[in-house]
Amino acid sequence: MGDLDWNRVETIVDQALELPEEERATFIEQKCQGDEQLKGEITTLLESISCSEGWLENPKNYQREFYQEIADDVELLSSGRNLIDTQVGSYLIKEKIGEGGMGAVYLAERSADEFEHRVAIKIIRQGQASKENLQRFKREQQILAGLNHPGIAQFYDGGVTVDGFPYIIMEYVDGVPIDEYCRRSNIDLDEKIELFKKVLEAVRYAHENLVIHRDLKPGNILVNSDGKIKILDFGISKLLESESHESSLTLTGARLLTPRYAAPEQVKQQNITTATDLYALGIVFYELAAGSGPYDLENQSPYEIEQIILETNPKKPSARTQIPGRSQKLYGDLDAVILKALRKQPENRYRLANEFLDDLSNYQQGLPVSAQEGTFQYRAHKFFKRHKQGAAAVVGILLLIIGLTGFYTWRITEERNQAQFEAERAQQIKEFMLSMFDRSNPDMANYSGREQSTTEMLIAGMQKVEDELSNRPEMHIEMLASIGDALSNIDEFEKADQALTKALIRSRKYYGANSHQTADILSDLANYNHEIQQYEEAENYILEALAIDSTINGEHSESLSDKISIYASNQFLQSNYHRARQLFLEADSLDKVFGRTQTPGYHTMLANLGETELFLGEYQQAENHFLQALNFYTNYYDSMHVNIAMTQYRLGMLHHYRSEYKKAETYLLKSLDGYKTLYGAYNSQLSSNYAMLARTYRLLGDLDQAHNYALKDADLTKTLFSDTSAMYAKSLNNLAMMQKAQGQLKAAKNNYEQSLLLYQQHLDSDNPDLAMPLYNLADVLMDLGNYDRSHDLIKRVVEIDKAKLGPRHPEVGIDLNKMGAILTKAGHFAQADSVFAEAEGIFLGKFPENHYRIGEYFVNCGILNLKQQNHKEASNYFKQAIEIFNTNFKEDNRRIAQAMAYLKKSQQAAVSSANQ
Amino acid sequence: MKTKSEVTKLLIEVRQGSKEAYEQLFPIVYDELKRIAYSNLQQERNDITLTETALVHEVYLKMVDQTKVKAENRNHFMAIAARCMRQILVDHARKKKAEKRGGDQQDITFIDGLLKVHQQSMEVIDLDNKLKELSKIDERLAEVVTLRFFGQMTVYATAEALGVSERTVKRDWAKARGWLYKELKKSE
Repeated sequence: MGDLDWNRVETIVDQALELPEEERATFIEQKCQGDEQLKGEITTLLESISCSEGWLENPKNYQREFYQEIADDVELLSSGRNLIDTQVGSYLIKEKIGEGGMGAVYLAERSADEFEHRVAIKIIRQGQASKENLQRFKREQQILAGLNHPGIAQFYDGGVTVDGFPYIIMEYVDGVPIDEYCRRSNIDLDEKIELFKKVLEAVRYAHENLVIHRDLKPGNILVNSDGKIKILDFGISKLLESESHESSLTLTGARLLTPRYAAPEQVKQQNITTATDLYALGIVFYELAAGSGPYDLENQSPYEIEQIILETNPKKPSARTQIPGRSQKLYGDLDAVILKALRKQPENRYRLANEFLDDLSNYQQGLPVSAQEGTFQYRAHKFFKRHKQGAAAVVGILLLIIGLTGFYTWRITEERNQAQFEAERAQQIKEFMLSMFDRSNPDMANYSGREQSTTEMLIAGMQKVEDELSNRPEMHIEMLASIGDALSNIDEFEKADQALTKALIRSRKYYGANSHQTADILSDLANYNHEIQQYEEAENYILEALAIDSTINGEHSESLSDKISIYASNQFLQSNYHRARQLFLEADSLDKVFGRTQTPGYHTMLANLGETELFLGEYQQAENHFLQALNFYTNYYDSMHVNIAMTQYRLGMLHHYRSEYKKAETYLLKSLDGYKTLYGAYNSQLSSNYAMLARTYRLLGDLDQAHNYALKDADLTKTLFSDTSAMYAKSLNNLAMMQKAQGQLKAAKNNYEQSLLLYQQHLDSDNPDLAMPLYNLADVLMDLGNYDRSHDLIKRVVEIDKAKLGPRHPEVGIDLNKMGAILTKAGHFAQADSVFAEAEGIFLGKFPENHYRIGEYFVNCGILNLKQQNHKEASNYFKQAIEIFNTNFKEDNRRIAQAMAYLKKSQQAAVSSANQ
Repeated sequence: MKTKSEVTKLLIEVRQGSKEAYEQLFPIVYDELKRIAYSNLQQERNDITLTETALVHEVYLKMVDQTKVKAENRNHFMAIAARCMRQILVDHARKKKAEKRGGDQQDITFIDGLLKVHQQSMEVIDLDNKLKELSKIDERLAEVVTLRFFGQMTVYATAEALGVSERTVKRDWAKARGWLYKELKKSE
């Protein structure tokens, strides 16, 4: 190359690069005039240029280049002055396209030769950015920049201007708000549903990426000239919110919100979740479908508006619409779908955009919608509706009868002997239910004038039961209990409670307080109370049911087994594991006596027993029971079933506890797959799976994977349950654990502190679940040298664990070991010694032989002896520890290295003290 | 260490073409960048992403009084930082290469992370050698690569710092990239 003139090469290459590719060869030929060396050099360089496209560049940076340029300049702008015609990067600010409570939005254009492009720049004039918030602001931006969906306006960049105002650069969308678009284009209801489904799809994408909008409203949902939707400002309100509620970048979300679309939890400034977005979309859809919103908010004070959002139940869209002919279309399914989105309690709403989408699709295809829930009455109703014309009505009647047969056998299995009574009763129930259907069937004489939702039908049914069946007590009680169960199924908890309680009162009166009918209703009530997490209430009901059953049938009847099993679950839920195990075993022996061991129900009971044993540290029995259940399930179910995934998860947990981490990993990955297959990548069930995997990888020494799964968990719980939830506290705790493993002590300490704070907000001060966050914080504080506080915390842990698990539980041993270590570090040797003495019995008696925890215990004992100058004892402890670690870990494990170092130190100390 | 206003003053002088100011500023930026680059990743900088941009911005925020300088000055600062970055990374890569034969230390500093991003030390060292050759043929081409690759500067910022058009930067970048690619492939 040396003898070539670079300038000549360069000039020709420059010119060639300007030419279309097909013309280059001729051009080079002509320029080189037969100089083959020159031609070769130029051709190779051009080839290399095209081959190396993208090399040395981070493609992501390259893409974002233009926006970063703008960002660099926007940062230097003073937002107070007029910004029109200001150059930012290679863009020119053209005009102000919006001004609102938050700040102003500008349109900036780039018109360089290569391409024309427009962006929107939003400068927020709400409060100032504080330094602490900047890091978080940047993190959130990265997440938003990763949201790429045709229905979401792309976020490009963001930052803070010199005078402290946050700004955001995003895709410019030329469109009109969705409500205005619908008005102008005059589209019909079906088209509106189609359009709205696109909105849901975009929101689903964001939710799957763990981003919540928090301020959805028609003004943020635009439709462009192609009729495509674009959602603006995704995640922006979160971006501007501060971590602590007091010092915020701007006023917190709630104050900035458009009250018309705010969910009750936003008014109350409580947890924001995906269900919050779906509420706002529910209102938007209500307005689109009915022509006006559910509430009259005009001329109301802010306080009154808040009260309406919190207290007033929305009217059905079909009842509020003024659009001619619309009411009929909305009545029934669409009413149910919209009202489900607007329920006051987020957990009773659609939680996933997918559910909302499915219901709309089902509605469009005339299939049952989940908002109406799958009771057979509803399905039959749906069936009638789809097959109103033609002979299919006959099939409908058949379906009803089949449904009723199931209904009747379900309620009254144990009354086989009363055949006469049953036949009569079945007839009564059938007639009764048919008349219920008829109320909503226009062909029938007693048509109520309009179609009805399931909830309405059940509530009307309850009334009818009250009015017409009070002189037929058996029917009355039976129907009330059934309706109560059905209502509980569709999450109508207050109404369910009413129905079950009424059934109980009537049953006590009619059959007597000591009847098996009353006992059954009491069991129903216990189950219902488990569902709403009222465990003490549930305990009262099940105890009464048990007392009645054993009075009537003796202590060893078949019917007792189910009730004992319910009681055992109740005790488990209340953390009374010993009692729970005892009860499960009783139920088990009854089932065996009566030959009821080949049912899924029996194996669910076995798996529950296994979990109880797991909590009690009885690992071998637990494993046996889990495997027995898993074997049964895998033969019983054709495909993945929640029982299989759950049992695999429990086995993973078990192996983890037993320090068999490879096995734990295998089971946990299986159950993760299972849950994903069953419920998708975005469900609360995955949280504990992620957390457990993180811990397992930590102990396998794969800290990156551990951190990775812990982060996945934290992101998931934060989005699903909000950052003040107990679930998030748990995730934070786990994340901190991984950070500690990575040596990030301060980060770990901060997350532990925050986690403990959240736990304390959610739990009573003597709650056993506080032990874990207390222990972890104590642990990291010890590493940071804060021994006093560390000791205070661990003392509380020991108290809590002893009360919960008994004084000789393995968990208590681990606590004591930590306490001894803290005392050693703090220089309180005598105290440490007695603590280790107490722990000894537990470690040697309760842990499996060669468990690594015993090794850890020996190391701590060794360190104490080393400090006390007992070199020989110290060396012995370290040797034993190394031996145990060698059976558990690979030789490069830090525990082994640490113990070896200590051993060396104590041997050297022994030598030097002998020499003195 | 110089105060913010002293550094800022030097920077403005560099922008006005003072060679002396450049000679003074370079070692200051170099030291600060190096200090941060070698800081312990685990304890101090766990929330910063591993990019040169993050590192350089950090230094910039620390050293320059941003209220006193314009965007152009900033680009000049970035250009200096990019040159420092190249030197720091290459030195470190050499050291790493030497160590590879001996011990096997864990990556714990920020700069180790950066090297990882760049696919190992060897590539950085080779690239640096070829860049030296390139600068003998065409200094500006090598300069563009230093700024764009080691400083992760945008085309726009590079153009500003070198006082040429964006078009020229893009052309230079393509040529330099092609040349380096060809040369490195040849020596493989």
